[in-house]
Amino acid sequence: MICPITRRAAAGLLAGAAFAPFAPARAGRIIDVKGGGFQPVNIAVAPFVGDDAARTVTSVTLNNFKRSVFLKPLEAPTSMAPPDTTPDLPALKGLDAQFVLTGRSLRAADGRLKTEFRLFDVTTGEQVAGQQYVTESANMRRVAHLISDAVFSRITGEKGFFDTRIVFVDESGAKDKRRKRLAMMDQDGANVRYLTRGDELVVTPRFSPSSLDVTYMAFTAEGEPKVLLMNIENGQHEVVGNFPGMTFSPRFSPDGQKVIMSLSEGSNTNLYAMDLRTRTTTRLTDTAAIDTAPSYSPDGSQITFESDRGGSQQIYVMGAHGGAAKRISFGGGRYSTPVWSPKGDYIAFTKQNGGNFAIGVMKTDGSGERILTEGFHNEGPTWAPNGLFLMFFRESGGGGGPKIYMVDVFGRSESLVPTPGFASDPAWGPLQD
Amino acid sequence: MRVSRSEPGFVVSLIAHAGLFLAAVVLFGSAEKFEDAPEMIPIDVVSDSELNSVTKGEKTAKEVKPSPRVDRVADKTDLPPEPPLNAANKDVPAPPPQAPRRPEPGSDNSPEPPKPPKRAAAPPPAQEPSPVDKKAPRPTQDKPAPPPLEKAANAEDKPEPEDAEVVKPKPPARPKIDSAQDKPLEPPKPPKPPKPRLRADDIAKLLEKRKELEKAKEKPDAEAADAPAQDSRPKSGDESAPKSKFDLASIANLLSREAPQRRAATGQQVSPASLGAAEGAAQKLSASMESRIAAYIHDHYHPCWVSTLSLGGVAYAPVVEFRLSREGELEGRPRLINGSANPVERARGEQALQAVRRCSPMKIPADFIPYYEEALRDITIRFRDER
Repeated sequence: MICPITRRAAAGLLAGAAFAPFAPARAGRIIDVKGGGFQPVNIAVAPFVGDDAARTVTSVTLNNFKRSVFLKPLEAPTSMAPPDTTPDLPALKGLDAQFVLTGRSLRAADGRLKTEFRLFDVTTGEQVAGQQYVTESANMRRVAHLISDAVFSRITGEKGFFDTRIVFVDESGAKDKRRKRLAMMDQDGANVRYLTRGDELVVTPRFSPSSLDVTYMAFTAEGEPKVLLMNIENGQHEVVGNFPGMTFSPRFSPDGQKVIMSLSEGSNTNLYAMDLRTRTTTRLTDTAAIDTAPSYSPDGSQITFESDRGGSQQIYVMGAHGGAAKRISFGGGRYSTPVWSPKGDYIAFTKQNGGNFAIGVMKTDGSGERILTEGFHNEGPTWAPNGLFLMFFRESGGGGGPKIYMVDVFGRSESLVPTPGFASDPAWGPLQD
Repeated sequence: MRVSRSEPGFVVSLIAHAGLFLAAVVLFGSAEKFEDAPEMIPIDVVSDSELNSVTKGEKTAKEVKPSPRVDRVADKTDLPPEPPLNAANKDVPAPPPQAPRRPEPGSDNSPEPPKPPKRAAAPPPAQEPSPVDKKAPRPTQDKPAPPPLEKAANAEDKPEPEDAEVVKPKPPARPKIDSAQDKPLEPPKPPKPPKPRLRADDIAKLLEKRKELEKAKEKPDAEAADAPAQDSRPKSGDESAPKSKFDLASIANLLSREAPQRRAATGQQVSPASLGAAEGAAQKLSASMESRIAAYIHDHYHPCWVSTLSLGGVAYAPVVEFRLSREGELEGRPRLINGSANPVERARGEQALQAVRRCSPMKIPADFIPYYEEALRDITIRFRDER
């Protein structure tokens, strides 16, 4: 058969062949959907099956999720999500749940409790996480925190923060005769434990990255300040150093090998780093100004601190070994107590402007300043180990005292951390091992 | 006029001009003719999509009876009433009976039934898994997957090439238009009139018969009768000329009938698009329609992405591929094509997958259905984070 190819057809074929490699494939078109909102992930929590321990796990877990801001717990009946079988997906979808948590806590033959959980993706019905813990019944709260962390990190990809502890200054007594004790609690305010007796005035406790040591300042009865190191497991105290003049704001380096602090000499205050192994001290700044409140970056390469070298209190950043410092805060008001986020992305600060004290965050170059909360007196921000939450203390004026609050890094939700009395100077510890 | 010897200018000029004229006549008459201009070949730039659209049809087009393909309306005044000479039709190749280039589905007149595979009549689902689902084959009884199999099915159902060739007296219009355009500079040869001599002879015979009749009627005027016999053209004003079937109008009719055959793009009425042939490309997707569809998809999935949890600081933008049925149902699993080992990015990728699942099915509007294959079956979305 003759198959005539006209020039037109040939031209078409040629054109098609020539441009074929460059022709955009229809199927390859990518549609960009921008957004990224801030909607908490709905997670249905079915009551853990078991005795009182199971109920503790359920209630602690629900409370954790409520405080987390990023997860929105929905209570689902066990019939909807039994611990042994696949959950009732249509019913859970009806609740608008994206995940469902089921579990149980059973007493083993040795008297210990075996607690297990399963996390299902409601859109697929697949189990996406599941773990089992065997422990004494006294540890059920911690088991609940561990479960909460596992769920939180599985859903958000971020590290958890529920199984952490807070060291703070417990304040009791009349305002003019306050007794200040060093205390420690779980991040949700439970399991409060006192570390000092209250015969010394203690301020600015800071957790060591190892989680076993706390450094803080204590004022003797004579008013002499000293920097102390305390092992929270065995309660042993150790004086880091006695320095001429006043010492302030001790804080650990990320590797836990050094303590950085400020020392006043006459009218000047400069920053010093002390090697805990050799006890040698290195001077980091030398200015006719007040440099204080130092905080290491998570990689230990930089230090942020506050200084009035420019005329008013502002935040500066310099290398870990000293040298030229760069001012990063330029907003109105005075900036103080900078703290580098464990994630390294933000620096939290206290900002005083007029009669208000605000807690905020800014990027490490000073941009993107965001005020998370403000009021009569807010101070002393401390980061959760995952860099998503901050605690600070607030004094509301009047005859009351300070209380500790928690806020997320976006400032969306703020919650009171229950403490037995007044509380200040919180220091958030790392995740427990 | 007197010619002065002392003033011979006029004579000299006359002689010189005459000589020049003669020389010009002689010399230029023998000069070689200019060569004809070389044939020019017009070139049309035909894009790939235009080439495809030649064989495209509309799925939703009304089914029409086959008629000669016509692309533009002819001038009505040029079309006389039906030519009186039916015999002329025999000399002119009849227009092919089937206007559409391909047999129309459902058409009674379609010559061979190379059945256009209907997309709806999907092939058995288990024959071949869709490419998307290769890694995670679904139980076949779960859902048939018609679209992925269409190509394979089409290939199987496609009419055999031989059959297609048999059908191929094919499009009357296009090929001929092409060939006509290849040689546009050739003088448009008037269609050969159907041998006037034969006609003249026939007429002469008729006239002779008439002559005999006239002779029988005692009006023998042989000379007057012979002249029209030799020259068929009736002389002007000669009322006595016999009315012949052959006249210029009939030639014009022939010409006018031939024209649509040669250039079948002209006719009384523009042909509507035929039903789409299965093996042809789908209806052409314009850029604006593509943008409309993309915007529709964006708006549908946007709420499910915005309602995810973004913790910010993540440059990673998960890209999710998924397949929709004609009903807008999710077919198989959405696939993350740029998965990450980083836990935060992995969680973000899973949120994107969840967003697709939560916002499915997506109702496909009726006016998008013709573009299902091109723009709605396989969808790829990049979920960006603006925090």
